[in-house]
Amino acid sequence: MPIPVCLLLTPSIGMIAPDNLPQPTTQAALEIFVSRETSKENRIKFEDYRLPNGLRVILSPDPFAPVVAINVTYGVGSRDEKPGRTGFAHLFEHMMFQGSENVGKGEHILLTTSVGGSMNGTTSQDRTNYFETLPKNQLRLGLFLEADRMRSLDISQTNLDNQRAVVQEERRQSYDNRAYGQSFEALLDLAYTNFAYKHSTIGSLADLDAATLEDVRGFFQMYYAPNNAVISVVGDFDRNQAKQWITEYFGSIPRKADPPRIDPSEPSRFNAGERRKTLTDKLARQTRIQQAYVTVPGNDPDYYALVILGDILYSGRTSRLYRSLIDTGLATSAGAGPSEGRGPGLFTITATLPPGKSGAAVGEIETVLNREVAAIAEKGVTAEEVERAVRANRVALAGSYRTALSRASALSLYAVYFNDPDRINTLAERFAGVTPQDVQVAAKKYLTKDNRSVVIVEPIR
Amino acid sequence: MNTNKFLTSSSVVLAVVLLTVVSQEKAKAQESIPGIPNVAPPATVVKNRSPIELKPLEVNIPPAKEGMLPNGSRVFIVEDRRTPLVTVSVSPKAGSLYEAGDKQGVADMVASTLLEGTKSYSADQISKLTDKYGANIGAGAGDERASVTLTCLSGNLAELLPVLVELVYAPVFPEDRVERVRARAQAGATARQSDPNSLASDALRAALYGKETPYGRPSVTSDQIGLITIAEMKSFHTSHFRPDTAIIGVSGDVDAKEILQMLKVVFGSQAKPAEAVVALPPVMMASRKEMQGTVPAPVVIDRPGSAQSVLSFGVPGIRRSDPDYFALLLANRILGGGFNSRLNQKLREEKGYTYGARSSFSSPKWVGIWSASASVRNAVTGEATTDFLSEFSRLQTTPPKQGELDLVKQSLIGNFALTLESPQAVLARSIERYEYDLPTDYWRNYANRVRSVTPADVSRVARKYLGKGGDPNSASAPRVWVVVVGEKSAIEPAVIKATSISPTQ
Repeated sequence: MPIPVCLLLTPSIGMIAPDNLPQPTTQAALEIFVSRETSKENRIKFEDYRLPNGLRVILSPDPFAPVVAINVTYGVGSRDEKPGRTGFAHLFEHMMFQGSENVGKGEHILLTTSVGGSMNGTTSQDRTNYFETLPKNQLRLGLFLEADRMRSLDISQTNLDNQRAVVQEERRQSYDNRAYGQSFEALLDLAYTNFAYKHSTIGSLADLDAATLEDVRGFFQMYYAPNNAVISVVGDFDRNQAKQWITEYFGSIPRKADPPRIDPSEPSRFNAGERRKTLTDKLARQTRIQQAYVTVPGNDPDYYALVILGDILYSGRTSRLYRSLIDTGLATSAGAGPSEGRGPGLFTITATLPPGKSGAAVGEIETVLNREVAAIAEKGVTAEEVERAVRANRVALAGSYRTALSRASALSLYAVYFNDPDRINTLAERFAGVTPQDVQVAAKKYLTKDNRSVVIVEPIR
Repeated sequence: MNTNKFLTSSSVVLAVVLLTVVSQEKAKAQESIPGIPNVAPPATVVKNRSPIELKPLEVNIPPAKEGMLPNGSRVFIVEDRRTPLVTVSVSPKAGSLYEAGDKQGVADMVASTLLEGTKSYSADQISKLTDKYGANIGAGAGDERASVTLTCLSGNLAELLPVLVELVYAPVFPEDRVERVRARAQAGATARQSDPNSLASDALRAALYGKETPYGRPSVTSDQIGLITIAEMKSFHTSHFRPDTAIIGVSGDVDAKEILQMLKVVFGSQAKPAEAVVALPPVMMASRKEMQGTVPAPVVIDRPGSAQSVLSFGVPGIRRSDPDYFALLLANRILGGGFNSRLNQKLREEKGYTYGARSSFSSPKWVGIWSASASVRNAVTGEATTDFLSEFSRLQTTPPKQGELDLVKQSLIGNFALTLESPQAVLARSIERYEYDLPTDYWRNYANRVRSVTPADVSRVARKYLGKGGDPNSASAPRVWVVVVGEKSAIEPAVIKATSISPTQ
């Protein structure tokens, strides 16, 4: 999956995912526990409107905890970059913390963290976002800070040079000094022909070196417009008060010309023929195989079937690849699933071999991967497999939106990506609507040899 | 006409008045909004024109509901009825600190094999049941405790709790399954050997605690994992997976009374063993003995192909019960505990050497480590080391300005509001209070304890823990253990040079 690059490194928390069984011996006692109906009403309610300058505003009050979360997402990502300027959208994101008319370099971070809040900014292929969670009495501060940098940038060559160096160290730390750090870039390059998604968000050191102050100003002028942004506010706040401050701070920011829209389509993707590359990785200790198939944007009807397909392949200990790779000891870890983006996505399948295994073992794993995929395309999947995957997604979605920030970020994201913030509420239903036939059709359509890219990463012996 | 004129002139007057108000507002916005103390580090510019609420929002963190099972397990419960999910974790004292020196890796092997079959459920049945309900079960071993955690829809808890209790107390360690878990564990151990942060932290702990002690021995190797027998795993499980040391944490869509009753029934049949609980091994810090001796030589670990050097610094710190806890908490924040800390401002925002520089301290039941680290490009390894050392000196010699300290205090106090968003975090606070035997009003008094720390306290603990003599009354060149992982031939001379020159005070 493409991973957004961030202003700050924050620890990520992962959970590992893993019929008829003996009845528990304590059945009688368990009856005291009234099993509740689990389809609780969890719909996230929100108000969605635009200011005259085009800024889309989404408000979702929720008094559960005394916090407010703000997420401002701009409709620009690395897919909008020009050749020779890879990594620029992300470098620009760093510049948004370097000062604006009324906020000094680093002051945004000093103020938000000094009141006990947390903040960050991240850039992906499809968007750039800025967000903070604050104690509820600081909503006004957060809105002011976001508005000031949407309105104005106050930056210098010194600050640009400083942040360029920081971003280059970020690249070294997160990609170049890490096992398998460069393999996803290789996979993007093989899978896509269109520059939009062919290059990585972190970009190259040389392209980062080439970025100028003029580039920064031009990018701000072109993409950082209220009419190219969505602000979502979620948490314990008064709706009218929030509206008043949003109008006061953001209302007078002038609308700009609509930013140019790229064409990210990949018309030749299905019949390009299998593409392969082998990398040698000095820092890796195990051989890894990564496959990618070009797919569709996240709002294409086929996307939901692809998610279920990914789960049937590898989610939980009864999934197909878990059985054929992990249970057999052929691989020590694996993964499968589609990305959810604005342009043609990637369905990736990854497997890591035990230490010391390569050569023939790689061929063996590839045979298993391709056989499992072909089996789904040819024979389909069972209704039970689909039900299981749907349920796993339902549990995952129920756990996804427990913080105000997670909701603010998803509302902004889906508004920018698909003009559909309510997707936060409808995704579970869309997964529930997937049939075994849909899964088979999706496998047949996308997971073909001619649409496959393969990167094999070998450690140095 | 007249009317118009009158109206017109009236409008003008009104407009003038408005303009005056606006320009006064603007002047006020630009100069006299009562802002934060302008004591930011040099790489930050404070304009103080933002509408900040100076009075922090003070909230209380409610305690979890507590209970105890007849067999001695302590139960902590936080209700969160917003989504139909519940998380239950069972954590007995079965972590890696209890491993004998020649049985390293057994704690993790035991925890990782719990899901592979129990008395009543085969591995396959466990997998089918969890997948059927879309539940997650994970297990792992930490330093002191192992943990088995179940997350599921609250409606499925009655079916899954009986599985959880078997996973914890009645695993059977089937041979074929153990071998698969072993292969994965060995792969993990092999991968860790290429991770520079893991190499650095191993070397630092070995230097500070002594590599023969349970606290300082390096991460388990693939070969050590290969030697563990099933009999040893069973024996470790019997000795350490005991209900009377277990903490059971529950958060989510449950009624506290109901779930406590349910736990009593489901977990209650597990009797506590007659044998005494094994105590933690005593901690002897090798480095403590050397405190009055010579400056420790830097350790440079070769990792060919490194694109960066991982710099790691550490000193012996404190136990959680130490009276220096709050002073050290704030000293660490000022040194490297956040974006605006001195280390990050110097090495990232001023010099551009790194994506981030930070410090942190652990304060477990035993003596912890106060450490600092950053990944920097090879060419600036020496300069960056010097900058770290000079910040360790400066913290001893230059107490923070009152304003600098106040900002850090506010940040800690204000952050309580964010904790309330996460029932798991609320639960963790209550368990922390229990684990470290903190007073019942600990979290209620926390803000006051934070407020009571003075700038002099900060430099006092800096001198005590970072200074050569360990003397809180006199500042000195820093006495820290230095570990650098990277392309040895390219960086070693610079590291030696930087660490052999005491930075000026």
